[in-house]
Amino acid sequence: MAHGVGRLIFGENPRRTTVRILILAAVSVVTFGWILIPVRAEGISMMPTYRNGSLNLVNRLAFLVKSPERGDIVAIRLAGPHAVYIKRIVGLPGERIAIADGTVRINGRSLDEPYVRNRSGWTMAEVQLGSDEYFLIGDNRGMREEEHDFGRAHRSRIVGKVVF
Amino acid sequence: MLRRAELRIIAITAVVVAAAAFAWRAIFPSDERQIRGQLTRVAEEVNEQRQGLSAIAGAADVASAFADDVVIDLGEGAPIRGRDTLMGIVARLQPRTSRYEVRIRDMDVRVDNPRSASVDLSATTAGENGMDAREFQLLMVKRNGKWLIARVTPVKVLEK
Repeated sequence: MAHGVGRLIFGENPRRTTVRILILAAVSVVTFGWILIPVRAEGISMMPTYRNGSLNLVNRLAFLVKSPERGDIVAIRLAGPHAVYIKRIVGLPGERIAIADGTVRINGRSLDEPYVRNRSGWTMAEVQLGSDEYFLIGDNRGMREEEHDFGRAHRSRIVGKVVF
Repeated sequence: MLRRAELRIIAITAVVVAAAAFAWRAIFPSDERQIRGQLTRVAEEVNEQRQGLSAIAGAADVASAFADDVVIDLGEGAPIRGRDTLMGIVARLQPRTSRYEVRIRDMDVRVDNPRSASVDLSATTAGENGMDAREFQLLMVKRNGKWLIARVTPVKVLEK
């Protein structure tokens, strides 16, 4: 009986199965520990794109060969990678950003943001981004401006791209 | 080829050396380990559910991790100046703060010299209104052989 169960689990060749399990475990540890990091979105600042409590994956290799682009949703590290902000890139290095009555303006022109459903009358005076700075905001613009963390972040703070 | 007896001696020596190293680290922790332990204990104390006299004792425990002349700037309101002021605030707010869970997520400790160190850490608070994450920079000073928090400054991750 026990032999039958063991055979059912480990198959005809237990040694080969064990090696496969070990390889799968190692690949999983590397993938989900260093490459695709699972993060949980806490809060409502990315609604409706990501709901409070949704589980997402951050691809740390996404920006190895190409730079972050406008519209990318990225993870921003704090003191380390275990607590991150999830925000959308709206401004790129060197651009001038302002917010007028809830609408983001890039170099004086309104930005089309189809992912934004509700807008409050946010206002921010124009700022010039540095050569390594990105401007990030969550998609929920219906919440109060003072309750929503947004602004400039240095490139080195971007951990990776949220892919799921 | 090593004989069995020699292999056994090598194995025993390795185990003894590893145990000695482990004991040495436990008995004489490095400055970095002391600082990490101190900050983790502060977070645990803040999370303790206490009331009445126990809350005052807890506040005293929390305050003992700070320097007399500590300055704490949490980024909102006026900075808290002095350990006594801090202790009063912690004792008064304990019933309210115990509804929140404070966790230190990442900690980067740099010992600048034998008497001062800088720490960057991410702290999260989880409570009725969801979770909030902040980054802080701490200045630690060593007084009478104990590492104390001398200054807490918020770090602006996203600047307007």
